[in-house]
Amino acid sequence: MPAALVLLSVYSLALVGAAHGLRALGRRSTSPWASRTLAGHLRATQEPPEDVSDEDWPHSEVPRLYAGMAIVAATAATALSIGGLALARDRIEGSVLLAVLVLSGLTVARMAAAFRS
Amino acid sequence: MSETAARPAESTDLTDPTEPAVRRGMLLSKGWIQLSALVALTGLFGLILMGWLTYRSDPPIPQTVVSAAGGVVFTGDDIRAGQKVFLKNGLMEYGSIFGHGAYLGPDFTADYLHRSATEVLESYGGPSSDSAARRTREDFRTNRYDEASGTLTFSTAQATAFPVLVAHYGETLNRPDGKNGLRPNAIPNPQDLRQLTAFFAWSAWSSAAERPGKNYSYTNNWPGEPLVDNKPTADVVVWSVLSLVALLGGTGALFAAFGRWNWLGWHGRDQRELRFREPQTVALTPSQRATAWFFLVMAVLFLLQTLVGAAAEHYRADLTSFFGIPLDRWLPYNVVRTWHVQLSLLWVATSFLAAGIFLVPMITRKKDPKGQGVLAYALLGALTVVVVGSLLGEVAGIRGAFGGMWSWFGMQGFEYLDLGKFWQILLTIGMVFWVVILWRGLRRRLSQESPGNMPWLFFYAALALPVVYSAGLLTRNGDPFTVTDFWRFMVVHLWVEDFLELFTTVMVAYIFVLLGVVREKIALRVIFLDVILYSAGGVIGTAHHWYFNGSPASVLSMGAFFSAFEVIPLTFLTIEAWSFIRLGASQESRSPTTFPHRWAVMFLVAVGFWNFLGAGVFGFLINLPIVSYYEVGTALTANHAHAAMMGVYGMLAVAFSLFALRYLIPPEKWSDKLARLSFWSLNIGLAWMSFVTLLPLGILQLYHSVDASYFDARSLAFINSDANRLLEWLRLPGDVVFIGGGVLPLLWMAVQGVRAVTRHEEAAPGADLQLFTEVEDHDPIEATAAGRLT
Repeated sequence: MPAALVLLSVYSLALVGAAHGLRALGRRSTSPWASRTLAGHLRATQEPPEDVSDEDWPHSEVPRLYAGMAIVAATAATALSIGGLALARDRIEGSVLLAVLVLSGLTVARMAAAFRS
Repeated sequence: MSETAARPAESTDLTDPTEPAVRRGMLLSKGWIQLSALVALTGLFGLILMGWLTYRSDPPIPQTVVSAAGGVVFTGDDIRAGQKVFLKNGLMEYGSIFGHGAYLGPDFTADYLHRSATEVLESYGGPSSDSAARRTREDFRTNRYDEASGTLTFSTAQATAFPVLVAHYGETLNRPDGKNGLRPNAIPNPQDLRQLTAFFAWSAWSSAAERPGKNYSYTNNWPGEPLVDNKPTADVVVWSVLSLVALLGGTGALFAAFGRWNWLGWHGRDQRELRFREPQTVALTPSQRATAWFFLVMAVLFLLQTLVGAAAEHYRADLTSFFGIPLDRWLPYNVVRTWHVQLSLLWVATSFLAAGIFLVPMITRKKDPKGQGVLAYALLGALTVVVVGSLLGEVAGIRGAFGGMWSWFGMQGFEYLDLGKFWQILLTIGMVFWVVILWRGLRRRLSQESPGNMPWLFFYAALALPVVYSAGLLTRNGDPFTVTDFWRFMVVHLWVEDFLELFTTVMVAYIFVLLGVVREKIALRVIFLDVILYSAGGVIGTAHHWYFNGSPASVLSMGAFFSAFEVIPLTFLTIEAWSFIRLGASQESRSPTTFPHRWAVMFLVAVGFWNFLGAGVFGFLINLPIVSYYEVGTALTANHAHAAMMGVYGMLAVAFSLFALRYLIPPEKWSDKLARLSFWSLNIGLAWMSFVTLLPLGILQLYHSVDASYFDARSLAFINSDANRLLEWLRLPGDVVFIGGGVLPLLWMAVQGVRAVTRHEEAAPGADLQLFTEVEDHDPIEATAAGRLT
């Protein structure tokens, strides 16, 4: 399989993985005091700021931001695998890229549906 | 550490309207200034040292190049004239030399080296002959330059290859039908072609001939070329490893310190409650109203930049025509690329100049000095003259206008410093004029402040811009290329990546202070930390652009080691910004009025993101000498350039414009929807550009450069390959989103700003221009003691 198609396949899969990772990140609590990174400061500071709710801006934007980025990453993977499919010259290359296309396309569809709802 | 304001006369609160009777002392300890000065001076010393090394060790330009068989091949005058032909015809915005320039055409150093080596090899018996291969390597690696006589001797085979390549460049650069990215018959003069080829030949010679006393060439054996045994040197490998050590060790050390001490001190509870003033209740001064026109100009230039960028990109996807239109006849690749690069600097600079003017009355809380608005308009007029003049000059200059004055009014031809010298001088004067405008507005406030406080830091950061930019005036088209490159990168790196970064930090910090969400002391600490960390890496780190341009190996080593430190502040400040945003909602949620700058802040969040990804990750990806050896002048460089320049400075310029436009546009005309559309479209478009095209294409090209050769990876054959063209075409949807959804809404908002600007009322005579936040204290006892409550 030519280097270009290997790269497109692996890279598209990495983008799909990144999309799932971003979506998972967007579901995590954005409370500053839920973060392990800030845990040390919470212990050290005498009067830490109040906690915030998910509806306070900019926390309210976070799930949408990550979900949007995830959809872009998955869409990019889909576009690249479609392009790779156009370059495929034999069945093996075509099959691999088709598999990647199906995976990325399903990811886009699922994430877009969740975003709309 | 809590802040105290003991007496109104020594108020430490920036939002306090009481005018101090005495000069306010420095809010931080002098240690910050001392450390900043020490690091900056060390960096400056390193830069001067590298300059001396460069002047001392650049590849010599021989007076005469002769053939071993007798006869002159070309002269030093031919080389210098050829460099001028290269620059005058915009070839650095078509291909590259020593890896520097554009990426559609070949790298002419690598191209000449490979082609001439191939000719020599054939003349000795071809690739199947071991002795032919050995003789070829000897011909190129043996340095036959005699310093005493100024004579360089080419082997007979090398000398015979020269006219062959003159003919080759005549055919490829001078095609009557174009279809190579240049305009048809781009360089018709045979003398020009001969001199241009002499310049290429000299650059190729310096890339293979070994430095006296060394076993590597003047360019540290770049480009990789098996025919002449050019491969990475020990310095390239070792300093790549040491660069990684510097990055990992420095990051570890900083986070060890950061985790241990609460240096910045803002993680505590804020005792103040903020009330955000409605933007329409803030009176604007004449100079602030004038900035509406600046932001309109900014948006127009941004749109133009994206359109010529799309045209430039199209050449990479389809060299033959622009959807059937022979665009190369009027706007060949080198013209659109020149405009694309120049406009990126111009529209961002327009926003920065406007933002500085807009912020001054908010810092001083005083009306404009007399005539400030008129001066602002005069600056805008001057900027317009420079923009229009330089852009038209570039296209006319490439077509041969201006005769002997081509580099003054036409095109100097250096990538990023393409504009004619006359326009470059005017732009520098314009920036000085801008500093004068700021000075007029600030001077009373400055007289009341310690030189280590924020108003002065704002002024220093602004003053540094024309000062550092003026270093670029020392590029001269007659100087040796390595020397001109030294001065060129004073602008491209020191100005763009260091001093503009400093100005960015000061501006953003000041905006947050004026909004009341960050205390002045904390903002000051961030600024000084920024100066220390960026100076530690970025000043000497400028040399990461000079690895292979003829600078000595000592410069490579310093560049590799210190530029790794540039990533550390990016990482640190990203984490701090992320923490700040997570904690920041507490202020917003307590205020009874909605925070009016949500989308400006969202763009600042985007700046932080792209600073880390585009500048930090993508930048370090290509920073190690061993990586740069194979990828300089390829799509990975373009990936970093786009993600960093647009992601950081572009997003910041938009953030500044939205901040100001929020006051300029009346509330009934302000549209959060347009701001949201612009935010999402610009970020999606940029991410698409990077992840769908530039990054995968760059990886492919890097693979090809290592697997085949750098020459091959930079050839038009590779650019026109199916995989490459596919990736270029796939960029189209992202670019449409970027321009249609990102730039056009911004343009519309800027138009709204201009239309509304005459409707703002003048502030009443003697009225104090209040800041847009009022401060109420949670603790009335402390507020009384502080004199903020009676």
